[in-house]
Amino acid sequence: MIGEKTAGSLLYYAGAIVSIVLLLSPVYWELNSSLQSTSSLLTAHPAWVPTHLYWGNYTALFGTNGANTGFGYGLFNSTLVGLITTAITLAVALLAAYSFARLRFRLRRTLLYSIVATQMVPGIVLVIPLFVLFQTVHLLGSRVGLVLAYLTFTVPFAVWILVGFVASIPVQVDEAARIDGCSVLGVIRHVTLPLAVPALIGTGILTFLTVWDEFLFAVTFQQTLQEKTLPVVLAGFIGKFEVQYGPLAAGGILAIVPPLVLALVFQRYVTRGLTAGAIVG
Amino acid sequence: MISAQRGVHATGVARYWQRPALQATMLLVPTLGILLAIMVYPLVKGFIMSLQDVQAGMPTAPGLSLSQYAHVLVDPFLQQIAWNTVFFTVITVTTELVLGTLGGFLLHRRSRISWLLSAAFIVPWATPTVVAATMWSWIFNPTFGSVNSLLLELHLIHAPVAWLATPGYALFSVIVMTVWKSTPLVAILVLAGMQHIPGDVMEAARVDSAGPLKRLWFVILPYLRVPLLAAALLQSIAGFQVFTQIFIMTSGGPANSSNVASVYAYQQMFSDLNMSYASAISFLIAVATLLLAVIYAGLLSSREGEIT
Repeated sequence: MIGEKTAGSLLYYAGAIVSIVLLLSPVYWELNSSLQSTSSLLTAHPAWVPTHLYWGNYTALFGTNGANTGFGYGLFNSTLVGLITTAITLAVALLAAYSFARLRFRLRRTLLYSIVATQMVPGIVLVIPLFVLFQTVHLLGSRVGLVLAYLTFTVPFAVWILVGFVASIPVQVDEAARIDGCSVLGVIRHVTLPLAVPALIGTGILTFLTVWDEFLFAVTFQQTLQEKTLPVVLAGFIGKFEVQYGPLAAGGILAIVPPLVLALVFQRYVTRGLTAGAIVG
Repeated sequence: MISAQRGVHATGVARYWQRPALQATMLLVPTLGILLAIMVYPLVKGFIMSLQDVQAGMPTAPGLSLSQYAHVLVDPFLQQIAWNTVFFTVITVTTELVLGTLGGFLLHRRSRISWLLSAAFIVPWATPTVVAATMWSWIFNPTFGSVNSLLLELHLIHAPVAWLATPGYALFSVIVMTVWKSTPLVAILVLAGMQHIPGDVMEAARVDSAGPLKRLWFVILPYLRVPLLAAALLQSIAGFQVFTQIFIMTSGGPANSSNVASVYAYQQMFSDLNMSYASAISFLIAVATLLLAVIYAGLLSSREGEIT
């Protein structure tokens, strides 16, 4: 038994260390690259640790070199679109989740499964007609259009997760509020909402991360630099900064920071949200 | 459950607004409105478009036909692209399941470095796909990238390899990036599954002095069946629909050796302006996704009662 335990520990620590190295080293390499000037990166064996910290890549992102990289726009637009999409998603999905979890009506099952099933619609099949549609209604390249497009998959996902949580709130709490004279909206506002805060946080963060990460819709719809989101701006660097990998790495690091901070700080909410949908019914 | 509401007779205007069906309708209007206007309607239009031959926004001939779908069958590139898509999906999902399960085991065990391990698993997942794609493009860069640098120093290769520009290697490189990015999600699902295993079941197996491998196979893996199937389903769907990393790292090249269905459809739409053909391809992707889901749903529901 002792032999097995030590072997187990050895295996664990070996595996853990290998995992940590494999998982973190690409990002470490990106950080390393971002802190060296592009000229020092263009060698066959770049330094593993920067000899001194070079901040020029980061400043270049924000146009101090005179060229407008669009990075500032990207940051602003991604944040704005992310927050608006998340806010609308949570509000809309909570109402829908309440109706599925608490109310009995004829098409309940069908509608719920249909809504959840829409998540399987591939982006590519939607992006083609949406492009044509947005062109017609002059929403192409507008952030409003982008938010609307994102809602098609953020809302079903949020409904899926929130239905489980709302259903887990004891009905007696709802009924107590109803007896006190609360309307349905009142119950949602005063009873369901406060109790669902952890679920809302987890779902909200997952929604924001999804929007922050999204590329296909953004690269298809957004036309002008002022309205591009961060992933599109970064992807465009490959044409613009063809050999300037320094600023590209710096942009990458900055783009990682918000989702990473959110995910680390709200770890528990996020993992609970991820697994709630996949495992619980 | 809704006893309070069942006892209410729906008479009069005020009571009318309390009927569950109507309340549900009101609550669902935003959700359904969004989905109908921005998903169902465009999908219908897209499907109709796939039955026509739309050039520059206008159908070239009246009426509907399946000619676009027929064209899919004779498209010389489609065989390669379909194979790439399936190959990509099978390899990434299998690798992610294996590595993710191992990762889940590692994450399950509490130790002094658990916090670091958890953080390490979150990093690839939190990295935006575009960033991961450009990051790995740089890592795979033939002249300045760290992979060639490392392999050359270890004398495992004698000349730099053009990872993203060589047929065969290009798709492989994107697979590596995808596995790096997606394994943490599988690991988290496996971890959640392991945390659901009743403690006494684990204890009983340990006490029975069953060897660790037997413990693994007979005790732990049955409990992981559901999370692993869920992970496999999610990742298979993602694999079939993969777009961003191929688009950014290789653009499907060289010569379609790394091209996949979504990217090809996109190119047909926006580079070649074959809107109807692009639409047809995308609907075929949707059908393939649906088939996948049906298969997995069948696998999930079969023998479900066996665990307890």
